[in-house]
Parts: sequence; C-alpha cells; structure tokens
Amino acid sequence: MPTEKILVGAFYNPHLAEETLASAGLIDHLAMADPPEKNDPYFPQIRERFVLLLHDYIHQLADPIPPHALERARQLAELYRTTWVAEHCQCVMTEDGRFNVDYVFPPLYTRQMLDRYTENAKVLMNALGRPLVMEQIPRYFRADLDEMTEGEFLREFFEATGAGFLLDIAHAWLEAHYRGKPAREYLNTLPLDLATELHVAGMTEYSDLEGPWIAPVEPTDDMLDLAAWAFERMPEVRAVTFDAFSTLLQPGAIPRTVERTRKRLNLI
Amino acid sequence: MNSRQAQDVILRLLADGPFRASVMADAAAQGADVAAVARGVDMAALDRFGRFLCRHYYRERIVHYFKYARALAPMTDRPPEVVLKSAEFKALMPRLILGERTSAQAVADLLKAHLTREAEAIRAAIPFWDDLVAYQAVFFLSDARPAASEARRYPTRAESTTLLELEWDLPAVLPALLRPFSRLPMPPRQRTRLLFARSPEGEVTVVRCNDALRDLLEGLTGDVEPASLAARLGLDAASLEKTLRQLERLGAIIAQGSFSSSHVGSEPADATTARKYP
Repeated sequence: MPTEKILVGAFYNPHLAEETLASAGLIDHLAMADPPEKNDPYFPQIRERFVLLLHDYIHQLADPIPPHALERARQLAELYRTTWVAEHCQCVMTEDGRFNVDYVFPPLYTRQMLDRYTENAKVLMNALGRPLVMEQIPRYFRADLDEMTEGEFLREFFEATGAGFLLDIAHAWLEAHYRGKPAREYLNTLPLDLATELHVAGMTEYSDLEGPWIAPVEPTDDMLDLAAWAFERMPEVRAVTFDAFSTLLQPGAIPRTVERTRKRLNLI
Repeated sequence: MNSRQAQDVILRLLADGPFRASVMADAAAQGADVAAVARGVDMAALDRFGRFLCRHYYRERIVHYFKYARALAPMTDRPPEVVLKSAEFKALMPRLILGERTSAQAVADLLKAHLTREAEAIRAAIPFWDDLVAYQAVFFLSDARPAASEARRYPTRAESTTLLELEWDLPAVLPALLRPFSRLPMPPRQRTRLLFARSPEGEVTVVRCNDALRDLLEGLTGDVEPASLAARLGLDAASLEKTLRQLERLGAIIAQGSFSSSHVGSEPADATTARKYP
C-alpha cells in the first residue's frame, strides 16, 4: 500500500452540487464524466475546492482519435487541471460510425485490438501531455473470440504505453460473476500492481439481464470488503473514487459512501 | 474477418434489434462472417444485453431531452421515463435500432401519446403543455442520426433539420422550469418558430428562426445555386455565404465545398443570430 496521501472522492453530479460542496472536507476529488453545463452556478466553486479528474468519453482507443475529439479532451483537461486523464477499455461504435451502443462495452481481447489500443493511446497521451489511466469494462455474455485474457490484454497495454490501471471493483466482480469465478481469484489475474485509481460502485438487479449490473447506488459492505482486499494489493494507487454518475443518485449517497470507503480502507 | 470487424458484428447485434432477431433465427442467412461470430457468442445472453442497452439508451435520452416534463412530473403525475416500462415499449424493442431516426420517431410517438393522451387536467394547469411536449419530442428526435443522403451539387437542408411552430414563447421560460417554483413560470403567449439542427458530431442546437431564415432553409433544395437563391430572396451574396457557413456549422445544412466565389468577412446575417437553448 502506498504511503503518500491517497485521494478519496466521487463523481460530480450537478443535481447534488450543494451537498457535494458542503462535504468538501470529506471529499478530496471529483471525477468529471460530463463537461459542466454553461449555466451550472456551482461549477466555479467546485473547480476551486476540489481536485478534478477528467473521466469523460474521449474516444474509443480501438480506432484513431479524430482531431476534434483530441481538441475537446485538451480543453477539458485544461479546464479541470486534471492530474490524469481516464478512458475506458471499450469499443462501443462500429468503425463506420453506423452503430453505437452508447454504453461501456469491452473490445475483443486480441493481438490486433491490443496493437490498436496501444497506438491510439500513445497518440492521446502525446496530444494531452498528461498521464492516462484506463478502466476495465465487464462483458455480460460469453464470447469465445478472444486470443488472450482480459488481464493479459490490460497488462500488455499498460506496459507498452506507460498508462495506469483504473480498477473498477464492481466491474471486476461482475466479470467474475458472469464467468462463474470467485471474485478474488479473478482479481488476481488483473494487473493490480499497475493500478493508479480504484473505483468503488454499487450494483442492482435488472430484469432484462436476469441478474446484477452496475447501478448508481451505494456499494454493499461486501463490495467495500472486496475493494479493501484489492486496495492492499495496489502499491501505486493514488485515488479511490465512488463511481456513480446519474440523476437517479439520491442525496446522501455520496458523502455516506465516501465516509464508508475512508473507514473501510483506513483512509481517515 | 479480423477481430475489429468481428467486434463490429457484435456491436451491430447489440444495437440493431431487427438484425439481432434475424441472426438468432438464421445466422447462416446473414453470411459466413456473421455466422462465425454468432457461433462464438452466447446469443441468448447477448439478446438480453441488447434489450438492456436499448432501455438504457432511450432512458438517457428521455432524461436529457424530456427534462422539463420530468421536472413538472409532480404536477402532471406523468414522468416520461415510465414509457420504458410499458408493454408498448417492450413490443417495440425488437424493431428498434439505436440512434436511427425512424426508431427515435417511434419512441417519440410513444412518449407524446403518454404525455398528451387525456391530458385536459394537465393543460388546465400548464397551458403550454402541448408546446412543451412538442419541443422536447423534436429535441429527442433531432438527436437521432439521419439516414445517409445523396451528395447534392449545392447546399441543401439537412434531413435532421426541423422547424417547429409554437403558440408560446417557450425559450423564455425553460430555465425557470428546472428551478424550484411556487407559481408555475409562464411564457409569453406569442407565436414562436424554432430551428433544430444536429451537427455531424451529434450536438443538437435550437435557435429562433425568423421568416427570412425559414425562407432560406426552404429554398435550400440542393438544386439551386446560392447566388440565384440570394437574388431570389433579395439577400446580399456575402451575407448569404456567411449565413450558410453558420448553418453548416450547426448541421442545419449540408454543403459540398465552397458556397460561392464571393468574398467572406461581411457583417453577420441577422437571420442566424443564434442562441442555444437547453
């Protein structure tokens, strides 16, 4: 476990801005999933009081990043004065742009995809001049089209690019769950030693999925226990973030979860 | 087929309800590549995830584009997102293609029916309710990707561009509807025309549209040279060019190359004094 100060925070949810500002002593940082609305009266104070981390959709690393997406990311990175930039290990849009699921979805873990991710991530890092972290994304259904495991793909990517790992503990739990593996066993296959940031998150049951999936709710104690287990194996981690960004997120959820996370991870 | 192409097949299976149904019925009929991908995935689970994504996709857009109806739900008792749990939406899902305009129109029709059916009591409390629903429905529809169109020789109005005529001047009151109020904020009862445009990057912009701009947009058929159109509408050619460039940036028109050989740098055209609304 690292010795320097580790930030504990959440996502910026504008509908909970007042409560977030009132919790400034508890919350160190805010991840920004969307740019602030032009008429958001709270953002100037938010920007002054918190460390902001760019965690927007920049572009899928499976494909070359167009200049307008790079420019948008550059502007947001400057606005937030972000310490690092986060992207997801996702491929959500067809190459011709015709189909887009508009939701996180992972790539096939193949050598060709790895090469594409590596090349495009290097372009992004060079363009922004800031460190990059990449978050892993679970796959709900079985796909026997991979050439390597998720853990192998991630480790090779991080070693080739110098980017950091953003471990989402709920994503890891879901991946393990839908593969029928124990969560800790699955976590052992991921490059925890290269993790920069840890996400804690809640889940709920969805009728369409006939099972659990990510939701903007508070994590259970079991999930925080799992996060604490992983946290002990992440020597380079610098931030822990409650990952919930939705207008459905209820008042009180952010300060309660940040407090519970601090206690469980001994980050008081 | 390489793995990037295989990924595209999976993404289409998730986003395109009719395609998914046809592959589940007979994958081989879609070709060897698609059949190979279908063999490699758990199609029943993929189908469940596709339905989950469909509901999520439209929920995100309802939350964003129907935010005024959501804010007024305590007065109307009709939160728009409940449509997603209706039997009608469930029946519609297999026919929906995420991001496609016809699909968005079908969902918008469901939303409009839900919000305006037997709504006399709502109209009595919120006299501009029908305008508000229409405004949000056009916004919702404008988000969808237009069908690919044939290249035209001259600038043409984009398929996704919509003009909406309202009885009430809604933009004057929209921000106030999202703030707490004790008395319903009322817009002026004043005929208002709005232009909705979708940029190539998918950003939807709404601006007021006066008669001159309407006439211009209606004249942009793709077959008329801008200089001829300027002469017909009595517009200065340089101002027209600037206006066309502004409209192109918004995505309201599609142009091939330059608009004319005239110079740039003229005064802004009054017709497109643009202001974005939430």
